[in-house]
Amino acid sequence: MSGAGGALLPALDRFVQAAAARELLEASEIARLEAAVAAARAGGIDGPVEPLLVIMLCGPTAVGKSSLLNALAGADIAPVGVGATTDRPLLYLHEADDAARLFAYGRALGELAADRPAVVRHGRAAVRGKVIVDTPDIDSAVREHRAATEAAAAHADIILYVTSPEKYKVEDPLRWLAAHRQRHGIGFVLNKWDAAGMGMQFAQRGRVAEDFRALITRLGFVDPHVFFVSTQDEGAALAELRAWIEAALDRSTAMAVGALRRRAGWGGIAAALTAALATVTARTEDAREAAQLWSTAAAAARQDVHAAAAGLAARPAPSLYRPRGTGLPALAASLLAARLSLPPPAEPVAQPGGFGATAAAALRRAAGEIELFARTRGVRLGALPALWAQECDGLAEDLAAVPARAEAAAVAASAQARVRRGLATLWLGVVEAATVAVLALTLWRLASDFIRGTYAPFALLVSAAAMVALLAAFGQMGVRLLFPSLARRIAATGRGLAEARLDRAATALTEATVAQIEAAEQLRADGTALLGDIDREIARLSLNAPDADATAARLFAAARAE
Amino acid sequence: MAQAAPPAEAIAAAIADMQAVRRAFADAGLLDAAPPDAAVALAGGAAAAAALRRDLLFADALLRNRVLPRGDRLRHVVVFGGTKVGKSSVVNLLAQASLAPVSPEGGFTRHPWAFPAAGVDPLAGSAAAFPGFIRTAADSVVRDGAERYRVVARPPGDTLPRELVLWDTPDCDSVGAERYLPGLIEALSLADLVVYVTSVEKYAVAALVEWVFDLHEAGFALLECLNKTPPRDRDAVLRKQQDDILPRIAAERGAAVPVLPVVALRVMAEGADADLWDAGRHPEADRLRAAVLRPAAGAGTDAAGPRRAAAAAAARRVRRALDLARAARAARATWDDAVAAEVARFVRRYREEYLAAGEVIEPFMRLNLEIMRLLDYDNRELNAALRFVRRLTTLPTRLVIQVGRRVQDALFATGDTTTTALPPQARAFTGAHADLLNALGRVIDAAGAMGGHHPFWDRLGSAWRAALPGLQAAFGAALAEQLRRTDAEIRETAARIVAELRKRPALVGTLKGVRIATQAGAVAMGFLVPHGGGLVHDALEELVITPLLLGATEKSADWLVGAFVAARRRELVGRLEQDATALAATVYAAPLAALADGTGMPDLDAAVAERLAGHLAAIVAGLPEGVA
Repeated sequence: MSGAGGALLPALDRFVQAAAARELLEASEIARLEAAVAAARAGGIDGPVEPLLVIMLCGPTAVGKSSLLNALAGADIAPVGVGATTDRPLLYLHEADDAARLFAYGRALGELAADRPAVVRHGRAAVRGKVIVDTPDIDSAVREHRAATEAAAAHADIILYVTSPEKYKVEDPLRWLAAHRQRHGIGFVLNKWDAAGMGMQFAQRGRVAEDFRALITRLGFVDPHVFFVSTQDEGAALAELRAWIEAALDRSTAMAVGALRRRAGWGGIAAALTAALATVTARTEDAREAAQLWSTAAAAARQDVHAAAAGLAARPAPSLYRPRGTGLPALAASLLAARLSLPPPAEPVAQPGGFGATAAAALRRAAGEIELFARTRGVRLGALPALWAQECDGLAEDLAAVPARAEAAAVAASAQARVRRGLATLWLGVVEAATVAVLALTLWRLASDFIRGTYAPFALLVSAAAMVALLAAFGQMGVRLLFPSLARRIAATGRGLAEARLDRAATALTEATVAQIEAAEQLRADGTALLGDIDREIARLSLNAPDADATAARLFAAARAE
Repeated sequence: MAQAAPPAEAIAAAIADMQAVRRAFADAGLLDAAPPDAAVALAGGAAAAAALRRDLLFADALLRNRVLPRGDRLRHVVVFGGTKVGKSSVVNLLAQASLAPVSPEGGFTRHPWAFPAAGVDPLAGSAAAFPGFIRTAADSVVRDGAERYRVVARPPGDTLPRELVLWDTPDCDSVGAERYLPGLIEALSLADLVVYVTSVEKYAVAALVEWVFDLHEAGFALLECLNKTPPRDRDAVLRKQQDDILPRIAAERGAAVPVLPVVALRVMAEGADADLWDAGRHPEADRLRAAVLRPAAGAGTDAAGPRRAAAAAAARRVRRALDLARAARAARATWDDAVAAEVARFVRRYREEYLAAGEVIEPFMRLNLEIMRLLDYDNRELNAALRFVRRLTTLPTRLVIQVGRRVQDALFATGDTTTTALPPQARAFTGAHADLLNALGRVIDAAGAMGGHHPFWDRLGSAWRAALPGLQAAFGAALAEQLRRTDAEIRETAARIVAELRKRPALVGTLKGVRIATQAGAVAMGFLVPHGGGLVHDALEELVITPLLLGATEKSADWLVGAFVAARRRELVGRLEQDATALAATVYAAPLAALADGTGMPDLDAAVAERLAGHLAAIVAGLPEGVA
């Protein structure tokens, strides 16, 4: 039936499309799979339910195929010559059978059936429902003959291999036969089995027959149908062949042959599918490991970003930011304050190539490692590496623009704080006034001491200096409380921006990778399910008892490893 | 016609080179009767592999047996044809005796059989014929596949001339015939006349007609014998052959249509073997014999014309094999170039990422601490005691400073302090390693994805996939070894720099003096400043003096011993680069070349191929056309 088979073929097409879309299978594997599907289609897996039995006479040159057809038909319908005469297939069809049904077998036969000179109609009821086809030679020197036979033979249900005592041992036709062995039922006819054909060896024809049977057994046929006929004399052998075609090849045989051919077709597809699936080795653990590698790389990149942001903090901030005091005392105070400031906590990291270049480089390196990891595990990545490179380049570009953006944002924010600015200026003013007062007091004390005559300036000067230093530190601390370091704010903003962009890039990369690996695993699951379905179909076809039909069983060779 | 003389050395050299070609292809398995899969894929299919084998064997035999002039006066007549066409019967017919056994199954003749006159050695003048073959007599029945030829003397009183040697050959197209192909080709190449036996069932077979054209092109004299054909069909067969079959194949090959003399034999339906050559029962037998014995049929092959044709045919046939070897070599060369480029890139990337960056100098920081230790007081116990007292007294100060730093961090900045996992050198190596393997994998993928690519890439691809885990493991081991060695090298260099510094006592003395002076000044400050001078002294020492001293030490070391340090640094970098190159060579270059070696391509030297083509061209040019 074409029913169950019909549902599998679209599933198979979807499988092939999914594999091709993400490049999960090599092109050669896909080509092999499609070839197997085409061969199976020619073998009729989605063919008609009510088949015509197509019997094809094939063989090397000048063995007498056309003569055989004429003898079977009882009339001269096929032209006979001295070799390489038949140049196109000839169909022998009952007048009540519809030639258009042959289109269901494929274009080659259908077009032949539509071509009037290629069809000969007859009225013999015994051969109703069967088509006998005469074909050109399979080893002819004329190239077109060989091509025509190849096209037609793909659709044969039963091939009657015709040969002669002189030709049965030639290698090339036997190789042709071996290639068609599994897909068609094969019967053997040894023609020219008479004195005129064999000359002086006719007396030892027993040995020839034995040799021939040995050859066929070596090809893998167990108890095949073999006929030794001669078209010159209407002997018993010819009648036997005719009776076999008319009687033994009945409806059940036809159905059995059809089932066996469909089984061979599915077997071919299963073999190609198994070979293709063997190359898809992705597993869930691979996806997890790849995601793990990406997250490690993202963590390393995040650290690089933090270090770069810290480097931003060490850069000199725009000087218009902080409020200044007024005049010389403020200058002196700020100088002292700079001396007493604590050293910065971290050394700035030199960033060759701009802000965040090391982060992008870390991701690129991780991309290389993950590609290698995929190659080692046999996971096919298709176009992913190119996508990764693109993503990393975009990341590097965006990160390079982050310092400028952060600076602009921070300066804009701090420019808004007018109240605090006023407070800070007031505070600085107070501190400056105090400083001036201290200095004035010191001078007055010095002067008064000098007048009085007690000269001990050192202690006085030291305490004055201490006082001034303390006031300066006080002032600086206050300003710093109100206006924390702009550089640090820039660094914080920059880090936030960079982290957000980095997280976006890392998520995109991880998702793409995981999607590819999961698609590969899905493909494997689909393929395994398809294989299971095909196995069930094959079993179903076997259940329809072709082995119970003895004729059909003897037509097919045993499956062999070659 | 004049006997032309191409130099004998050219012919001998050509024969020697041809042997080398044959050996290379035999090693790759292409000359076996059943070649391995690699060879079949290389040739482009089973049919192409069989054709290649035939071409090579034929070219070799042509050179040895037809271009090299034969020194005897024998006339070899070789009977050739498809299976069961009646070759052995024709031999018996010609000799008028039952010399060759005939069987109804056909395929009895497995080795070439020579039937010379009694006392004549058929290979007297052809020393180079049947190389490696064993000559056997008729009685031995041997069932193995070794290469043999048989010599059976004709019985006394035969009617053939003394210098005629009859040859019966094995089939060229039956099942298993490829095993006997070398013998068949050797026998054919000796022929002065080839009797091509065919029949109505065989004259239109493509494979056999191709043989006829091959023989005709190589300058063989042919006589067609049409056997097993009913008389009423003979004319039709001959007409069809001449008008249809031969012109078709000639058009396909671009060759001229050969015109062959034909003798037809009748079909003997019954009778004994001896009736075959009974003039009464089989008059056509006489005609065949006469045609064979005609002196004009097949003038001696020592004439220049056939020799030139043979040389030209040999050149044409061996060219296909040489082209195949050249394509394989080109593919292999592409691979070798890619590997070399990637290995160079590996070393370059390692150099740029690690050696050129500042990170390889990081171990030099250790130097400065070493140098600082030089500035300690010379008395070791005093040193230790002072250091201990200092650490104790500065404890509160250091605590205050640490707290101050923490507070600042908490208020104004949050910094991470975790570090990346790999040391920079390992990072550089692993990055370069991944790049190399990925790039080579991409080369294989791209070459394999091209339509009509050389089968070398398919086999290399599967070998590559199998070898990847091994390459990874080898790299891991080599990397660990390399890191250990680098560490040792850096430590050694640091020690040498310190030793050099020790040689400059002036510098060390100055730095020591500066250190003592600053320490004394700090103490003085502490005494002078009332109430808390101690704090000021410690703060000064920790925060100002020590960093200043460290920086001064490094700068003066740089200035005084700068050249030395720079030289050591360069030397270290050079050694690291050498190590990287050696690592790349062991881990990549050698195994990848071995990978390509295992793909089963014929290993033919380009020079030999060129020489052979040149010799053959010279031979062809040295022989005049002559009358065919």
